[in-house]
Amino acid sequence: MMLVVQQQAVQKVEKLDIAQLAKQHYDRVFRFCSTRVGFHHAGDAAQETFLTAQRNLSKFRGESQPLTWLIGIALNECRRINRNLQRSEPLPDFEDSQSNESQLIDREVLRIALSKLTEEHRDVVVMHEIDGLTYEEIAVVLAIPVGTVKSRLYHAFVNLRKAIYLPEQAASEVN
Amino acid sequence: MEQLKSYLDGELDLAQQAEVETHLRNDEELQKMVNDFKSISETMKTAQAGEPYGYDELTEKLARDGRSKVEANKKVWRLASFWSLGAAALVIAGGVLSKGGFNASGADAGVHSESTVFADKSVASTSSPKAAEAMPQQDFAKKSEESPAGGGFGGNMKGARSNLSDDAESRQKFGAVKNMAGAAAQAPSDGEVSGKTSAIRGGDAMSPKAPDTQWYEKSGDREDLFKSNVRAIKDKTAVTTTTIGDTPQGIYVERKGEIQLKVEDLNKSIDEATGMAQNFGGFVSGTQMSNRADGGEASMTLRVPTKNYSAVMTKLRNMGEVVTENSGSQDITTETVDHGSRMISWADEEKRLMDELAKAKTNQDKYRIRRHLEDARANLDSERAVVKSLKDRAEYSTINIGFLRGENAEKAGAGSGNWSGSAFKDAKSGLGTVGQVFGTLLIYLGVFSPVWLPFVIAAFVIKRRS
Repeated sequence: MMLVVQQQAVQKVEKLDIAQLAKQHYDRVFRFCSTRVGFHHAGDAAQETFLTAQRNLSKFRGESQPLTWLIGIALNECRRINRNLQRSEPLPDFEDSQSNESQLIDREVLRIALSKLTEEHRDVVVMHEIDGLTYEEIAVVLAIPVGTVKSRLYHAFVNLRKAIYLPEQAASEVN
Repeated sequence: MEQLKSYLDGELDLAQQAEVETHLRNDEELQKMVNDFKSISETMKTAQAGEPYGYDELTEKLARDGRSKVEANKKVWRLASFWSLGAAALVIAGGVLSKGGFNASGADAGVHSESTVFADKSVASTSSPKAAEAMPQQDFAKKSEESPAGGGFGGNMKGARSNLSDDAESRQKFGAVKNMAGAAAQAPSDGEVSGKTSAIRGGDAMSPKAPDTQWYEKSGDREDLFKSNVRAIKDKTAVTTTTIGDTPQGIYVERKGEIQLKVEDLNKSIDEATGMAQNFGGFVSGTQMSNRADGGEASMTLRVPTKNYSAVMTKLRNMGEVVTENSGSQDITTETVDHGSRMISWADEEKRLMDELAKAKTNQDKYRIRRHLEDARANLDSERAVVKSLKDRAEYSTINIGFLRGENAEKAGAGSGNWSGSAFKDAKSGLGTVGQVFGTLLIYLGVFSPVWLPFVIAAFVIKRRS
């Protein structure tokens, strides 16, 4: 039964049109790239993601959603760009929101807190909170178990909270 | 409380949610943590990525990349096709060359096998020297010069002359046999026989007189004697050293052949075969024919000079469809030399008795000597006849021909062999040929792998990368 499902998926993949994929997912991929390489390089990263996908379309086995597959390619592309630019992944920009102002955290404080996270934790947080990927999708993109995603996300939030709300405690733990 | 974040994201089942909510109701710190998590999460969602751009450019790039991919594929396949054609051409050229090589080696094999046949004959003729040694070792040429002048025996003079004539003949025979034996003895040691084999295979029809000429050169003082004696014994029982057909000097070989042919007209075929035998210096020794409306058959026995045996067989094959064909030969050199030496011995005995008779004084002695003389002459005639017969067998080959027409031909064709066995043989032969061709191809591909393998690998790598 599993085999049949996989075969059906593969048959479905064979009909994938890269132009159609681009039409459906370009914005999402662009935003994902923008968060990681910055707005100015996001266009190149997103385009290169789809070009790479076009060249590797025959390798897509249909074991994940096309978007997840594209995000995986985009992640590698963003890392490649950052490596070429000889810089670490830039931090995301947050806009000033007018609603529920009292509940929101100062954007600069959040950026500083994010910068203090390990890369593993930051990846999970950004993917889930900003890119809107589910636990399963993150697990596929990072090739880790879903349980690890949950754990990393929890500990990332704990560390963010400490950095934002309990800076003294965080500083003492660091020391 | 690792489930707290999952709880906020709605990733827990009902039981887990209930458990977390129980904790939350009882733990204020936990409630504060939940609120902090919510604030962080909501603030994170305000991240701005900017308005996407570059989609139109992407569509153009995708179209361009798709076309270039197709072009690259075409290029790869064009390259692969080009080199495949090149490799195929190399393989075919190699096959053609190798086929030529096989043919050449086949021809060589033929020569070797033929040489082997003659080598066997040479080995067989090694027994000749022993026979020659058994013969009386006398200088017959000298005796021949002395004998005719002998005479002085009154009434027996005529008979004595006659006998002396025979004696001279015998001496010539012995000389010839000695020469023959000598040639046979030399053959294995100095390679004279095998040396001539290639010339024979080259198609040189050696003159029957050639060995005699060679003999003259070796013993020039005997030339005149030999010539005169040859004239005297021309139609008698002389054993001369003769090269017969494609047989080396001093080797006596009897050849026999059988051939069965499908023909359209029996009478015409018989006439044609008769004419052919006569043209080649032979004759028809027997004919038998049974001709009916629905079919018929005829048999003929041809006797043709051995030197023309191969030519006659070739002509016969062209007269119709060959159903069966057999050729064989028998080396009768030893037998011929043996009987030749006996003949010489009896001739010597005759001569000795003639001398005794001339010297005999009493009638009783003369009577006794004549009786021995008659016995000696009888034996001499007997050996002479055997030698003549052997010579005839060596000089003339026998070919039995079977002509088949109509129904008989069909039966012969169907019954000429086991059809399934024949089919199996043909199939096996075909399989061997196919195997040889594939083997040759593999060998050539293997040898030429440094030429084509890099291109195949390159094409494969390019294809994978594209």
